[in-house]
Amino acid sequence: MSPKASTRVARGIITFLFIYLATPIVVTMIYSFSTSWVKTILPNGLTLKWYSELVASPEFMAVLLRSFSLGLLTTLIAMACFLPVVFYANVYNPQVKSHLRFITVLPFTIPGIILVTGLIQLYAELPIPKIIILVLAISLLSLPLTYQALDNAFIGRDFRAMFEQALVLGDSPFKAFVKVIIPNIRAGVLVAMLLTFTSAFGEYVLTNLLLGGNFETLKIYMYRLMRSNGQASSVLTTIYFIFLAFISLILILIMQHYSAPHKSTKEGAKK
Amino acid sequence: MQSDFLQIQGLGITLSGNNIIKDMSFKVRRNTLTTFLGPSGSGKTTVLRAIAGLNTEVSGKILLDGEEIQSRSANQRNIGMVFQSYALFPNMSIFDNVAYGLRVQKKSNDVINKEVMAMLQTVSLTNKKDAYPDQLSGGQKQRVAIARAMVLKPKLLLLDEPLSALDAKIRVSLREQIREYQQKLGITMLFVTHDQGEAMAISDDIVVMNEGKVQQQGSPMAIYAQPENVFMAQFIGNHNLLTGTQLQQLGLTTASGQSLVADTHYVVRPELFSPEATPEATAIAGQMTTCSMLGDRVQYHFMSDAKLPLKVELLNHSEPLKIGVPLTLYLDPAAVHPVGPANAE
Repeated sequence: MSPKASTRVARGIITFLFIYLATPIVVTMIYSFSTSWVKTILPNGLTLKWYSELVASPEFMAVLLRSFSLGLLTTLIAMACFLPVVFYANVYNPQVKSHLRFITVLPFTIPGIILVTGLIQLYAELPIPKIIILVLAISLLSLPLTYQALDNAFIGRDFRAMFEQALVLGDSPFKAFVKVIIPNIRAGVLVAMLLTFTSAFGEYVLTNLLLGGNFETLKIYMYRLMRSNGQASSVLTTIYFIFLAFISLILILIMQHYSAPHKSTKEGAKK
Repeated sequence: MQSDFLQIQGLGITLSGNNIIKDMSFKVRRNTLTTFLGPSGSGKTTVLRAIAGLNTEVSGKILLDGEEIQSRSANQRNIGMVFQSYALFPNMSIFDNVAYGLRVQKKSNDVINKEVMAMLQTVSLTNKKDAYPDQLSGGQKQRVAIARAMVLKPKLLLLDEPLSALDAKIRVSLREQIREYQQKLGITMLFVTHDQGEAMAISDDIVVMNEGKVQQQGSPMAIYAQPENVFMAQFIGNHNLLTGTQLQQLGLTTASGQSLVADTHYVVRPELFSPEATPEATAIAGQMTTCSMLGDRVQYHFMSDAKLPLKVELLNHSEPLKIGVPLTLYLDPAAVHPVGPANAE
């Protein structure tokens, strides 16, 4: 096959895949703006009614707040627990990294139902609220993403020497960590936070199995809405998709921002 | 008067359960530049880190200006350190890097500005104060690291192979600058290197280390001319290591004014051979077998008539000696130095 022909074939495959993936999203978006769309090629009319109804609904605001809180809390816990561990492993004990890599893959291999059953059996007798078990479990589930993003941030610089240098210059370990380590791994920390937040924000399996209707999050609400109101459900899907696209855009911008040469210099010049 | 400013007494260091350093003792005089010299893996950096307070499992005593400091944390020792990798903070400008320690000490902005600028002037980097570490050359980064450590006026400044990542020309120029800063500011420095030329060039004293033990401490001249054991004779400079019996075969009867001992090793530096006779010298007949041009010197391999190969170095100021032609070299027995029993190698 000539190079031109192979390029054409490749373009054709990519275009097909793009259409295959984008069509349901586009159709859902159009459906969310339609007055009604049954047995016709195009919707009968366009309206913002479903959006205004959903945004005005106290139920929607409540689930949004719950999902946001869950995402925020999970992110904070994941950072507070894993950042010092990743710092220690990279700076003081690189041998432990092979064990950490193995542990971080475990959440991928354990199905949600088994994890929930195990957690309930383990903590059923203890006076721990299930919401705390849920937050900790989601933090653990996000470990593969959090660990990898944080671990990558420690590549390429002698962080041990920088940290020890700050100590020798008279700083305490905590302040040295905050002033010297954090600013130089901030890209990795931001990426890890966004990924953790997004995975917790959209979590469904654990929340549904562990708390069910007692703690309705955005995803659970979305599935409930799907059974009762198609348009409202498509509005929620559209909003959720835009939210994810926005997070992805931020991630791309962060990566571009910090991979630019002499980034720190440009930043410093603005000070 | 120069007193023993830093005293290491019976130092032991354990890393990951292994005793890396056992019962080590040495002293550093006030306002001097002492070099810690040894082959890679000899434990130099480990000892330096213990003095800085960066190793946790340390036994023995570390006395700085008469005070025991071994139980103090790194941020309470008033010791500066320059790391091999410079360890500049990439998120801070050169000014902020140098000002870091002063800010930790909560000095006023006026004082910080004055002291940082003075230090940047000392290291000729005032024009780079707003630059960031990524914009500097290796030599400039190293000067920033030195300035950052010196601006705090530490009691002791530790330098861990600060020149190892630089090319040869910059290394020579920077080592001279470090010596100049040390003398100008009157700082006591402990400088780690594996480069003996570097150590010889800038030190008041040299502590030579091997396999976690101090082999010898003394001035560069004493370390070179009077090595105390076989390792020292072999590690410092070029050498001919010969037994008393071998020297007798060459025609010598004494060394350093004493009778030769058959089972003792003696060191003869290659540059101590001369093609010209002197009244005290012993004549050694033989011929040159190879010749290497070293620039200012010429290095030969000489095969004596007694079939003992010798390394010879002569200044490159005349025609090179001819290879394979019989000739006589002269060696003053006073220049032959005993270094210990033959089985100590």
